[in-house]
Order: sequence, then C-alpha cells, then structure tokens
Amino acid sequence: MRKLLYAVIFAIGFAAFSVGGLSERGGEHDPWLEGGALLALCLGFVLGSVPRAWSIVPRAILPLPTFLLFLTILTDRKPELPFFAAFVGAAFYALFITSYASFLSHRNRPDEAPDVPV
Amino acid sequence: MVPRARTIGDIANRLHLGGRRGGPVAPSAGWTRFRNSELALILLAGVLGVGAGLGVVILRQSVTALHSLLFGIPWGGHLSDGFTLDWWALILVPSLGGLVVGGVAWIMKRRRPRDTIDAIEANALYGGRMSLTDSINLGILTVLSGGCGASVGLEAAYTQLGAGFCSNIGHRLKLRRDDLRTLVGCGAAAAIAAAFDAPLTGAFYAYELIIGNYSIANLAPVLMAALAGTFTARGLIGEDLAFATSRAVHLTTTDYLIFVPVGLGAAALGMAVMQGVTATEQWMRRQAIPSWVRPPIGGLVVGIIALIYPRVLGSGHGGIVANLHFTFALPYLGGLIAAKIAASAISIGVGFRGGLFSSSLFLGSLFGGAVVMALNIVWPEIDPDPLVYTLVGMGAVGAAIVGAPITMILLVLEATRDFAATVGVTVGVIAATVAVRRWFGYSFATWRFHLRGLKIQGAEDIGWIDSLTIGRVMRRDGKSVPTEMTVASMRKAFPLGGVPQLFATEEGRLVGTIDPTDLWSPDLGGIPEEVSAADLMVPIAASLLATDNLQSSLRKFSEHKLELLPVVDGPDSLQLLGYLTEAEALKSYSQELERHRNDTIGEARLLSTTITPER
Repeated sequence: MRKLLYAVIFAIGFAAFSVGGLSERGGEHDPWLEGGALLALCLGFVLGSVPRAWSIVPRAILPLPTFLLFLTILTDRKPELPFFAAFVGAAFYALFITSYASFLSHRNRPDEAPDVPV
Repeated sequence: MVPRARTIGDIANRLHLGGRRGGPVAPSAGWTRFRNSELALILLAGVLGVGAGLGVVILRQSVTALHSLLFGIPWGGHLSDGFTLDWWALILVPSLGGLVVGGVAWIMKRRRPRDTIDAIEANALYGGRMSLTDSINLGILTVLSGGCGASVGLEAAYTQLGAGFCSNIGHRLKLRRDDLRTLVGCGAAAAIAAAFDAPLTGAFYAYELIIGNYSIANLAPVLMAALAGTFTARGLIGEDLAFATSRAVHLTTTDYLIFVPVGLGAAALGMAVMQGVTATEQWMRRQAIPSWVRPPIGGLVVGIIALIYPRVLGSGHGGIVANLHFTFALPYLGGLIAAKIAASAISIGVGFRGGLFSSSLFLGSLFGGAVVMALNIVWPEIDPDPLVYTLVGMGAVGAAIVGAPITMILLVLEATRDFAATVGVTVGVIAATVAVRRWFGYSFATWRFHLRGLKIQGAEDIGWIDSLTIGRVMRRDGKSVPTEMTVASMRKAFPLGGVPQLFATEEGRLVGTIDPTDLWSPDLGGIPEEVSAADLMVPIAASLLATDNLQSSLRKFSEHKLELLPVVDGPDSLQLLGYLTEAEALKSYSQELERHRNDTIGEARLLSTTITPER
C-alpha cells in the first residue's frame, strides 16, 4: 500500500508538471483531449509502477499519451521551438516517464527493495 | 642562515607550537597560553572568517561570470530570473557543461579516490579534520555545475570551502579537537553569512548543523567569523538583501492558524523531495553508464525540462525573488514545483555537485505561493497576503529539508527585516520541523549519511569514542611468567603486593591469567616447588586488542562477565601488551565523557573535580 502511495505521489508530480506546461501555451486547444491524455498518463504511470507482471501492459501504452501531451506542450511553447526539437523533446519525455515507471515497478518488488525505510 | 617562514605550517614549526622535534615534548608555555586563550580563538575566527567570505565571493562571481558567458545573462542576474533563453542554449549548455563536470570529476577521482568529507561528517567523526584540497576540488566542481545551469545550490560549496579552509589552518596550528570543531563551524558560519548577507543566519547554521550545539564557549568565535564573512562580502560586492520585501505584512489570528497546516504540507513536500532525490539516485546508479557520462545525460534531461520550465536552471535565487514580488498562476506554480524537484533530483543524482539549500528555499516559496492561490479559490474571505505565505512556505520547506529551524527563521528575519513575517514563519517552521522529526527523522544531510551506513544523526562529536583506544588507557604493570615456572620461584620473584597482575605464557603466547594473591593462598594444593603457573592460571576466555575502542571493551566485559581482560597485539599472535580492568575502563570512559562534555560547554571541571591530562 505504501509503495502504491509512492507511485501515486510521483503520478501527481507528473500530472502537475504536465498541467503547468499545458497552462503556459498560447492558442486554442481541446481541453477534453488533453484531459484524457493527462488521465491516461497518470493511470498508466501508477499501474505501470505496480510490482506485478501485468504492469508491462500499462507501461507499453504509457508512451503514446505522454508523447502526444508533451508534443502539444512543446509545439505551442513561447518562444517557439522548431518542430523537430519539440518532437525529440516529447519522445524524450515519453521515454523518461515510462522508464521511471519501470524502475519503480522493479524497485517496489520485495526482493529488490532498497535497504532504507520508504 | 635561518630559512624564511613561508607557510603557516612553517611558522608553527618555527615557533615550536607543538614542541620541538625528537619525540613528545610538552607544549611551550606561550603556545599553551595561546591554546587556552578564548580571545586568541575569537581573533583567529575573525581572520579566518574574512578568508571564508572571500571564498564565497570568488565562487559566486565565478558562477555569475559563467552564466553571463554561456547563457548571456546580464551581470548580477540569475538563471531563474525568467530570462528568455535560446532553446539550443537550454539543451546544449547543461549537457556540454555536464561533460566537463564529468571529465573533471573523473580526473579528480583518479588522483584522489577517497570520498570528500563534509563539515558535518568531519565534526561528528574526525574531530574537525577536513581536506582543503578536497574542499577546493568540490568548490571547482560546484562552480562548473552551477555555471552550466544544473539545478543545484552553491551553499554546500560555500560551507565546504569555508570549513575546509578553517580546518586546515586550525590543524596546522595544532589546535585542540574541540577548538578545531569550533573553527570548522566558524568557516561554515562565515560562508553562509556572506552568501545571504545575514550574520545571525550563518552563526545559527553553524550551531544547528555543523557544531551540533550552542554554548557560551563557541558563541563569540562563531559570531565573529559570521560577522567577518558578512562584512567581507559586503565590502566586495555590496549590501545584498537576499529577499528584500517592499512592504510590511499584516497577519490575523486566522493566518497564524493556517500556518500550521502550511508547515505540515511543507514537511510532506520536504520528505517527498528527499525521497525523490534518493529514488532518482538509485535509478541512475542502476543504469550501466560510466560515472563520467552521467552528468552530460543529466544535463540534457535538465535542459529538456527547462524547455518548459526555464526557471529550474541554477540555484533558484532569482525565482525566489520573482515569486515574492509577482504571483504566478496556480497550474504553473504546481508544475514548477514538480519540475524543480525533478531537476534538482536529477542534477544531484547524476553527479553534478551542489546542494539543496537554495533549491529548498525556492521550492518553499513556490509552495507558499501555491497555497495562496488555492486559498483564494476555496476561502477567498480571508484574503491571504501572498508575500507572507510565500515566506512561510520558504522557511518551512527549508527547515524540513535542511534541518535547521532557527537558521530558517533568522534567514527570513535578516533577509526581509520584517518582524511580523518572521513570527508567522516561526509557526510554519515549528510545524514542519516537528512533522519531519516525527515521520521521517532525518534532514537531507543526515538522510544521506544514513543511506551510506554512517551512524551520524547530527554534528555532535562521536568520533572521540573511536579515538579513545584501549592502547591509550591499558595498564602495563602486569608481569608474564612461563607456565612451567613454580610457585616457589614466583614467590621469590614477586613478593606479596609486589605485582598487581600475573599472566601465564607458553612460548611467548598468552595462555592464562594468575591472581598474584593465589601464590600465597593457604589452600594452595601441594608444596610450592611442585605447583606450577599452569596449575594456578585461569585460561583466557577473551582478550582485547590495543586498537579497539574503549566502548567495545565495555561490551566485552559485559558479555564474558569478567573483571579483567588482557590486551594483546593480535588475535593469533597473542603477545601480551598489557591489561585492563572493568573498573578502570569505566573510569577512563566516564572521565573522557566528562572532559568532552566540559570542552563542549566551555567550562572546566563543571561536573566534578576530576583532573584529566591536557591532550
């Protein structure tokens, strides 16, 4: 339960990060689409951090909403960013967040738990 | 011709401060007077405080120069001020800077493979001994890290350099252990005082974190150093109120009550930051990446975060000032908090050098701002003052992470000169400190010691226990006899009362202990010419090593229920060196404890009239 709470805290952190980025963009946007992507990111991250074999499924899906979400943040950034840089940046965020979820799922396994109180 | 004295070490040697060459010699009367003079220590602290303040100015200006050169920031500005920076600079400078940091750190590690001992560790375990070379190396790496935009604070380097400098001079002057520990605190105090233009903050940083206590004995030297550091920095770069406020604040009772949950929230944020940094460090360590490659990768990650949140770059001083005077939108504040935590954790986790002092202040100010925004939505009637809530958040998160509550309260007082705001900050800081102690139990520094397996809970000196070895206190007046020696021969050699303890040896190896009174016992079986030492001895059940500390000997006495233990040179060779009784071990331990306590509080023979030799 405590480990799950840990993943939830990280998910809240990623959500706050994404919402802040979304709020700084210019132009008109579809809030429902962004909201959906954000929800998928948070759920995918929490479920992907669970130390179970099936958590690979949410981790496999996680990169897509993350990539789309950060692509819209970076393409509408002020001052403007070239598209290739925004694309690479969004791909990086997708990789980073998925990789972190994978790390937490391993770290949360009893046999790999660090020898420190968490 | 007498050679010219060139270094302080040479001067100390020429003055024969520690006695002349040729073995242990009693210190000269002049040097003893100097060591016993509080005034001399105060003056020395003041002089060294100037040096520490100068070090802070050099480090700070170096980072400013790098920011100006690499990012085009106007002189005196901060990376986190919110300047519009080119996207390629945000990516390239931290990653290429990381490459430089990784390379320089790799070279330094090859030349000096040991870990750098920081001021807290030095005072807790090593009697204040620090390496100046390691401290300078750390300062260089921190300047490079901060200069290329890594999300780290410079305060760790300031204190390391200041404390290392003072420790080095104190060691060369052969100061006593407690005076050297005080000087380490003086260096840190001067550094923090110079960094924030706040002498009381610097002094209490030293008391709370570096020395571990406040006493009349260390009051004057530490304050003198802090003042010297402050005035040095003021003289060189001018008066610089870190977080100057432009108006007075007004608080109601409701505000004070709200500061309690704000403090609790700050504690939760602080604990999340400390855990987050640890988790990220573990993550980085798991990757099969050479240590010198990690900083450029981390720099790239920080740069990509900065594409969305450029204020995460650098220590965060500019961001704090901006947040005090302007109000960011709530979503942006929340995002910036998450981004700053991530950037700081990654920067430290990949091997950029620096600390979390200013990052925690920045995070706290953002947290306070976010609380105001949230209150404006859910409870607009109370009309919260953004300035004071930002200060409360700053102090409370700073206290939670740095672990120095009074320092944070004084920092707000000295940096804003607003007493009403300081009282409000006190409430938040107390709530945060109590919560972190209750639910986490560590500051960021002690948490990292804990993860490294060090038994340090603070700067309180526990290293003296290790230095109090059995070899220093054992008795050497026992005699050894071969096992075949008869009682008659022993009676001749050791008349009644002539020797306190006898030991039986076989081919030079210790095999047993003999109580000398047993030689004269009327119950002695057989005639004295026929009874040998082997018949009288009690085989040894346990022995002590001269290099063990006294604390471990007390454990051994207790485990084996013995009143006397022989001291040998090694567990296999068993060559007798001396012996120790439980009563003497307890007496030496309590005397040393008392001496240490007296030195700490600056009062000789406060607790008893026991006279202990001066070391």
